[in-house]
Amino acid sequence: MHSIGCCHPQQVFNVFDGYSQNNRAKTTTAVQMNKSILLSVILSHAIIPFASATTIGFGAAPSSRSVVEGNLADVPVGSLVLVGTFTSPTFTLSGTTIQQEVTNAIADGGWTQFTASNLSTASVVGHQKVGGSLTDISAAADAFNGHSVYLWVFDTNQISTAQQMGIFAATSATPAWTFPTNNGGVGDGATLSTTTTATIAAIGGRGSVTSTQLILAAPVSAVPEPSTFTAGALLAFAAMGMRRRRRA
Amino acid sequence: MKTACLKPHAIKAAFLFSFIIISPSSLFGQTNFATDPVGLIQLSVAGGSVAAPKISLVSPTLTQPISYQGLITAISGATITVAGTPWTANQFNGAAGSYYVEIISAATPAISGTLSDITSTTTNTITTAQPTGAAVGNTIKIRKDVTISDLFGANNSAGLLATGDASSSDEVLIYNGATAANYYYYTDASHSYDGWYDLSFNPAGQVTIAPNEGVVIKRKAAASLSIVFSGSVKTGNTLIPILNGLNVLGTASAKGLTLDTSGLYTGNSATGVLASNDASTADQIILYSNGGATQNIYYYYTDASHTYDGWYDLSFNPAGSIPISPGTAFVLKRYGGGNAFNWVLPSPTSF
Repeated sequence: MHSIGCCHPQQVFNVFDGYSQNNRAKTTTAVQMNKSILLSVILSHAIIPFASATTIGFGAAPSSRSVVEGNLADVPVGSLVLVGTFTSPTFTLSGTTIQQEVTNAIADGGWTQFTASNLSTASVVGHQKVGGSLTDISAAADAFNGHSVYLWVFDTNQISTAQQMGIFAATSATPAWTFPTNNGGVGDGATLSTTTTATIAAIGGRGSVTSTQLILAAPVSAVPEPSTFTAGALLAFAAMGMRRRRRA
Repeated sequence: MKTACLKPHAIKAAFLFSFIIISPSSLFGQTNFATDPVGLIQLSVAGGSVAAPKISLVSPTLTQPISYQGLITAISGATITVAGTPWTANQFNGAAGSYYVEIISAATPAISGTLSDITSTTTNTITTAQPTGAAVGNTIKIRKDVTISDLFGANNSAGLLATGDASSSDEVLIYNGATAANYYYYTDASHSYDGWYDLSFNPAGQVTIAPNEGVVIKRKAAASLSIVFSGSVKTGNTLIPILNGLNVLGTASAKGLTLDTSGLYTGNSATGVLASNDASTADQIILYSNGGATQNIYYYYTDASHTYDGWYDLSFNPAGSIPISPGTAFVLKRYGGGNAFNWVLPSPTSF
């Protein structure tokens, strides 16, 4: 048996900060992760994240479905993508604003978001795709074991400014859109697909899916389209005109 | 050509390791300033399926050759100066790949094996990401990082399953604590974008694998796979940071370790794993085999009597001779909220 170690805490920081942090510096995501881990080193007596480590990833690739708005234009770069699960996914949305519909979906569908973090759409050969991964290293990950994975996609980077959204689930996919069982170690992750290998459907009455696109939609009673407004105004003017003619 | 053979302590079922010293010269086409031996490691990766991938934990163990070795003539903060003008400006600052420095100190053995990335270079100075604790007269060794392309081939010569979608490709996971970054080799009929990518489709061939990092391969192809990696043998101790929580650790010891010889238990939980008389409260070492289907958990037992002190499995079978073979990786779960520490990974100073 060896008894070698004799480094003081500062040396721990030196090695970790100096090597690992910068070793990961070639990928932005990894740098951010390292910063959070660095924090855990600094607060080493306060944070003990070891029992859980469920990871869900979506691979963005040229063959992945693009995320588009109702007019089939790609959503802006970095649009918000939430990952989570619904306990009652048969709800139908009828709000007049995105915020209303979000509130309704959470209440009616029993939405639980996986981690407080989110994914963003990524640019791949000129189109926006769902890509990246989320890891929950808390015991809260256990609640997702075996549950279906849902993607909740918006057309901006935050709900408060979104005009359109879509909620998507895979009715058939290999691997299935299911949260893996959290075993608190490596291998508790699943990388899922939005290519045509997955049969994806929009739920809640918002959005639609083709073989190449996840299409977002606005709430039905939101600000009317100009053409709709024009037609309504013409009908109103016509009705007023008929009433005046009768009086005359 | 000088040829010799080193045998590992044991051969795990999931990882076949063959280590052959084939030459003191470089396999990477760079100039060596030192004579670390070079060799080959053969890794066996278990076959799986898209629906039920198998996982194998591996590590390069071997390094890139030493690009420079010399004595420190002056040091100021994170800037190290050497004699003469041995380098070109910016030689090691990342433009031509990421480099790191290792500190060797006979006067202060505790810092020997300290590693730090190089952030800038002049003709006779390097600046590291953080001060290393080195002193004038210490030796530095500079090496280039091993990358995904180095380990698996820029064109996936290792033969991992490559498709147009990460969900159906073999994946390479590199962990930072409990959080993994996933990489895969993308290919499609056009071959326009063939290459290593992350899940956001950012090119990833140059993502580095540090000596302290284990790599998890999620194999979805049915056939098992043998991967051969060649490189230099790192001699001397290596300091590896251990964090609270999950650590996926590679081994830089080409000789191989056992739990007893690993140096993971020091008798002090501030500098080594936390021992306990209860496996549920001790730090745990987890070795994966059979494509991840088998997870063998070990811990260091101690109690007031010290009668049974030692490494054990969960059935209290002695485990001190359990090997950690070159080319493999393992998981260390650090319990108890103890401090982070540097694992002094032992390796011979010569072979």
